[in-house]
Amino acid sequence: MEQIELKNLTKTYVSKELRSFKDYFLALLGRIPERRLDAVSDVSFSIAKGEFVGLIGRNGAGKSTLIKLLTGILTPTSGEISVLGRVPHRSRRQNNYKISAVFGQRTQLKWDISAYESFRLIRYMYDVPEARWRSNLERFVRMLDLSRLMYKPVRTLSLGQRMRMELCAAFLYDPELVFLDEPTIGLDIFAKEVIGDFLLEIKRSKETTVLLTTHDVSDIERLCERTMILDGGKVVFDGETNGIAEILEMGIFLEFKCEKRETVLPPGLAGGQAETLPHCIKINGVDKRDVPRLTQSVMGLNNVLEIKVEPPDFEKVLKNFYASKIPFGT
Amino acid sequence: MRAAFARVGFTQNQVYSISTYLNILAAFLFVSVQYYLWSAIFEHAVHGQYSLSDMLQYVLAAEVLSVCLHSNADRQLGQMVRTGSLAHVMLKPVAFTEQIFFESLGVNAYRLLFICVPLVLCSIFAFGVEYHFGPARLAGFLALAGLAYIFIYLFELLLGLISFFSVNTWGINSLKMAVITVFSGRFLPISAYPENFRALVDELPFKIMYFEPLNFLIKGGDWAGMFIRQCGWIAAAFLVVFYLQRALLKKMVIQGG
Repeated sequence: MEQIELKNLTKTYVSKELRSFKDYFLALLGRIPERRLDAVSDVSFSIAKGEFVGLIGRNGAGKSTLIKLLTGILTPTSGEISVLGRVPHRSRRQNNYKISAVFGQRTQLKWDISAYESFRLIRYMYDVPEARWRSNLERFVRMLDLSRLMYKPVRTLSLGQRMRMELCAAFLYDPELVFLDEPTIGLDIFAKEVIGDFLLEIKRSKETTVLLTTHDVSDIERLCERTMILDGGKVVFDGETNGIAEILEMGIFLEFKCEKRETVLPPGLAGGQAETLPHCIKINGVDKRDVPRLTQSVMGLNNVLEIKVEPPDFEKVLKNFYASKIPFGT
Repeated sequence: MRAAFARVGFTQNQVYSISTYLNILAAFLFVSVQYYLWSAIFEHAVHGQYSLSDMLQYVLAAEVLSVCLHSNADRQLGQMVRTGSLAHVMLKPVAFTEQIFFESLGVNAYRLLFICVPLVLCSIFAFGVEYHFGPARLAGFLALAGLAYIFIYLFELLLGLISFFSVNTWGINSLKMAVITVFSGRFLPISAYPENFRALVDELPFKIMYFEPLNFLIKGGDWAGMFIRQCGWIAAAFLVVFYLQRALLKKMVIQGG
């Protein structure tokens, strides 16, 4: 069952650019020409119940605007949008009972009081039965290691601690659809790991649909089978996460540790594809069908002690993608 | 659920205990300034319909109202718009207008208890101010003050909604202060204004915020007339806020990513 369906969705922002000091005075008279910008442009896709989908893109690609359109906070300029069977900006409050969001740079917790008070408020706001609220809270507090932090004012928590609290709050009322907008931004590796483990457990135990926006591609690799890449407000890739490299034909990386200092390369490799170092051969961009043949020929020419076979680095793939701007089909 | 919002509003103030003590001190200073100021004025001039005792009751009761009648919806909304935190508020299944209203009830309950009560006690026991109204007058005043609360909330909400397109609340705040200072009777009974100006103020809705409830408390008068007038202005403000909010939500922009 599709929980999100978008058809040719566009959101246009109108802005005024004040370039000179004079423009500030002209703005008072309303004389600054308006500039229109499509933050989301002709986007179409659908997401089924229970899917974990990664949404990536550079700064200003339109990711956050897309999430705000899906939550109904923003009204689209044109196109069709359906979230949980409703038009989100028309049925925002009905949808809000089943939707949750974490915005990495903002907080939904009340700043001056304990997170527990905010959790309590959530229970009343979403009309969660006491038993379910309590069992969820106990479980999440254990998973996210929050027991010592629950009654401290939110303003005294570190970023990592606060983000763990935010995730607890976001899932407390068993929402059907969760938008995670850069939930690991600025966090250390330990906090990232706890959050990653928590989301994996949610994925395993609940049928929650999650749309995860992040700049940290390792989060996407770990959690999402499907990835969408947004660029210039358009979806330029929508498919399996590990299929991105394949489509880009970046190939596999091979590294051979050899006994002798001088190494011999097999014939027929493209220029720049291989690199020889003392006791080492590195070959980039190998088609996966060529891996056995190439390995055999390197082993025939050198006394190989160790072989490393690696899929292309996801971050590097993305970088190449942005650089090449290859038009992908969806 | 509404009580939960009020509880959050109440507890948010409670955490700043030093601020509470400073507020009580400020209240004491306020009473002393008002007492000596109006005593000096009345020593040198007779002041129309208000005696010194009436005037002291008026300005102190006005202070009580100003402490616990404001929801600060304009400031809150302005901050939400400027920082983009409006996104979270809009994601709740409760309208942001309701969230602000009920949270402000908690905030104001706290301020009533910890600022207004000490202020009134201080005026009675330290300065010997006498309050002459009976229980019936007080009940009538409380009803009018309750309606004033709703009108002030709608007025502040209207100003807050303007920040949806102005983003900065600086000008809005100045406008609010000017309106309250000049037209509402917050600092001086409107009956003490020059006649021409009073005629203008009488035509505007702002006197229902302070002057009418306070004047009824001190001098009595046509309660039903005031009540109907307040209801009329509240209905008008509600319609303006309702339609403006609906129009603005369609054009809303959330600041930041």
